Amino acid sequence: MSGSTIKYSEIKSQNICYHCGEEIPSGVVHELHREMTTESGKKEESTLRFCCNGCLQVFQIIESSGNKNYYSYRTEFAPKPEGNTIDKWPYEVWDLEIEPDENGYKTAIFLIQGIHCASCVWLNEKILNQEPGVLSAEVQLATNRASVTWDPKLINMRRIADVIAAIGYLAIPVKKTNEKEARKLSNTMLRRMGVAGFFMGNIMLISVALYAGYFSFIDQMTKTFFHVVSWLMATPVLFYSAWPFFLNAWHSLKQRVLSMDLLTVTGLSLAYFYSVYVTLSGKGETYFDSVTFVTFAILIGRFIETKYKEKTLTYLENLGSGLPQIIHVRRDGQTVDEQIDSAKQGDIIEVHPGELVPLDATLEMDAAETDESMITGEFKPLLKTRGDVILAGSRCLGSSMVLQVTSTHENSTLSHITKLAEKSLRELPATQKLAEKASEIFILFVLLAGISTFIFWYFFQSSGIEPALLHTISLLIVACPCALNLSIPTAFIVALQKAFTRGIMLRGGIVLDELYKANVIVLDKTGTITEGKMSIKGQKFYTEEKTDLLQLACALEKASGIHHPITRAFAAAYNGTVGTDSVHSLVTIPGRGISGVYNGETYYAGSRLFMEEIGIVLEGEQSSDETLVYLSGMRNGKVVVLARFQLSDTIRKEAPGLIQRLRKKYRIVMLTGDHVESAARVAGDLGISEYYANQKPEDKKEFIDSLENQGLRTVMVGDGINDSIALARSHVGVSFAQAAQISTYSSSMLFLHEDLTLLADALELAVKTRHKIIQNLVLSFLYNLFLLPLAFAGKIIPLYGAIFMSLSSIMVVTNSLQLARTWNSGKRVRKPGKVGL
Amino acid sequence: MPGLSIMLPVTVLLALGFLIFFFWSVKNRDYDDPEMTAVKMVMDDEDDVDRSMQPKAPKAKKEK
Repeated sequence: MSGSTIKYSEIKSQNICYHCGEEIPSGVVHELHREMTTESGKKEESTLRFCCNGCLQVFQIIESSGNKNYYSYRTEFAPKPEGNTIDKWPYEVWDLEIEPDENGYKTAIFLIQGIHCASCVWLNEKILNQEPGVLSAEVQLATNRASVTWDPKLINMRRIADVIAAIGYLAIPVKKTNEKEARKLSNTMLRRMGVAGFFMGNIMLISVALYAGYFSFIDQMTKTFFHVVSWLMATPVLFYSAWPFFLNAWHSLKQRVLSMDLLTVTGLSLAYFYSVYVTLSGKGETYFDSVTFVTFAILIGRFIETKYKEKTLTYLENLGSGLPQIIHVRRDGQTVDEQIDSAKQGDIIEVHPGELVPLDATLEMDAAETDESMITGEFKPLLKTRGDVILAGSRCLGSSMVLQVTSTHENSTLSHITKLAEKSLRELPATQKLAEKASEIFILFVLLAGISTFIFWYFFQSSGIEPALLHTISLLIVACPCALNLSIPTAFIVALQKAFTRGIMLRGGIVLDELYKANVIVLDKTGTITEGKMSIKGQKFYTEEKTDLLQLACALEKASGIHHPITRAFAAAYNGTVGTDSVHSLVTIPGRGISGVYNGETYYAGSRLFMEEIGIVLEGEQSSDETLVYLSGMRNGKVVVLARFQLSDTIRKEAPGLIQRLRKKYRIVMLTGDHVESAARVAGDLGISEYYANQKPEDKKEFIDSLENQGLRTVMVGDGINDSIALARSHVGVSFAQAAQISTYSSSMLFLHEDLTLLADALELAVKTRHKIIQNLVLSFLYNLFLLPLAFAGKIIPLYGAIFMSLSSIMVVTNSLQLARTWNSGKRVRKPGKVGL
Repeated sequence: MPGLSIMLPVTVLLALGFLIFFFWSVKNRDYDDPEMTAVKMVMDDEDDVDRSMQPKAPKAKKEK
């Protein structure tokens, strides 16, 4: 783990919480007196200050369990233990799903939210292992996952979650994935690497002796002895470590493709069998060292790339399931929690505020408000009345909803879109094009050179069959350098690693190649160009009163405590001037607004319709582009309107600059499911001339397809479920990690931070990577240019071959590493630690 | 030459031992979480807490 540990002296000098590192609000006193060891090793009486009771309690739990060392190990502050309400998760149901093993023990994998450094891992492991009934707990920092085995007779899953929640983390069981297979694969790779590396090191020792012997003197017997030992050691490398290359080459041959692996395998086999011939005949020099070195180097590259792919996948899985797996269903007059699969058509279910609707359903009550942003990308709340269809994936706003189920889990609208997107993803054209093309040209070139060498020696020099064959083979060997094999993977790996530290996750290096070739950038509007949430844009007052009306409205909305885009906009503007505890008797009317009492007077905040219903006549008209919220109250015995607030979605602050930058090089298109007016406003503000409004998911997909038919290559950025099919269809689908799960699944690139400038960074990185690859190819080609004529002339000396092979490989690797230094335009961000649900 | 014919097998055998050791460590899942392995050894339990009351957790089976 990078980063240094947090010193107590640093905390002491600032007004921050000892536990979570947040600023301590003025007037808040939560203190403990403890003896602390200073950096010089002296003990001194100190006061530990905390921002809230929650942090203080967590500290006490950690201290009393004997894990206080956590505070001296940590490199980052702990998560603030608030909002981790584990009550809402159905651990009992999850617990039942797990089958005990033959000993009667249960094992589950948990995603632990809040883990971001090694000491978090240490603390969680310690706390879990101390809990009676927990047999073992292992936490992984790389994946934020814990594997816990427990005895169901002594403890249950909720208790385990409780233990973790008590120290401020949140544990959620994740479905068992193909982790075991992934580990098996990675372990096999490690073993192959181990064998290759081990024999490489030993053969190199012998090679040194052989090279020395080449210049001084070495008797034939010693030489043959060395050759035989090398042969013995190179054999497992070729037939065990390099075995995957043979398999891949065979597969590509069956599909009639000349792949990179075929080139590698050809080179390796030629070098190996030629060396065997040399060993047996006692004539010439062997190349067993090259066989092992090339295998080892390529395996390292493959291993690193696999790790990055795995990391991205785990990250995606950790984003959590978009839909609740549990439903609250009414059975025999009682509401019970059940598995989603057990729902039938006609069942009556309840959905609580803030929850997602699990299945397609119709509303069984008079009115309710939903947010369909996950499905349509449009975040404005929708008012539904009895009998209206509510799609799975909608979020319940305001108060609880009662619904009648109209679909099963399998055929809900959401599942349908998910399946479509997955299908599109599978239909993606085969990748690996760049590497394939380079190797195809190269193989042809080398084969031609080989044939002409043979023709030259056999026909023109009349050398006889054996020298002609030997010259041809040695040419083929030196012409199949590891440098070329390393050119592309090393550049990709450095780029992937670099992108990851910046908050960009890529599904393999090939995405960079696609990015480089892109010429059209398609952007979704809501949630991509805009922030996808409302904020207060303007206000108008109808009275001259001194009361802070905006803050009064904020207090009203905030005190209602409901999940609602409008409420959130006001809550964000709340500054505490009017205390939320000074308003009471709050009443929420779905789709209309809210009323409450402040200073003995009733106030109303809500839509125009709401105002008209309580008898206020408003002038002017409502533009459909923005949402207006009115505040009214009793004045002189009459309810009058006091203020009007304009709310609208905000364009991301980095968007204008980004569009300016990208417009020079790319065609920029905006697609939105929103209406024309609002699309035109955003497009106008940003200077986007090409935009399409009222786009349904299928329309977006068709648009992407039509671009492809014109031979254009698209990068599509989107965040909603409605974008997912288009994301999967485009050459590079880009999404935010915070977006709907299905859209992150259909994307090949993911931004971990809500920052659009990452797009420009990624495009720049793609160009830089491409340049590196070309440089690398040129470097390895230069090597060939130098050695091929020598080989052609039959003058190749194994020592030169060995030196240039190593030199060219080192040059290529060093050149790739330069990529990390040249791509510095953006700011460095911390390694992503938090994974949200 | 006689020296070589003894030394070389000895070297190879010695190295082979390390290869076996490496295989064992792969099997022992030492490479599952490389970031954690690096720091785990510097993190000790606190000594001043009596944990004799805690039942010792049996080492769970690695492979399931």
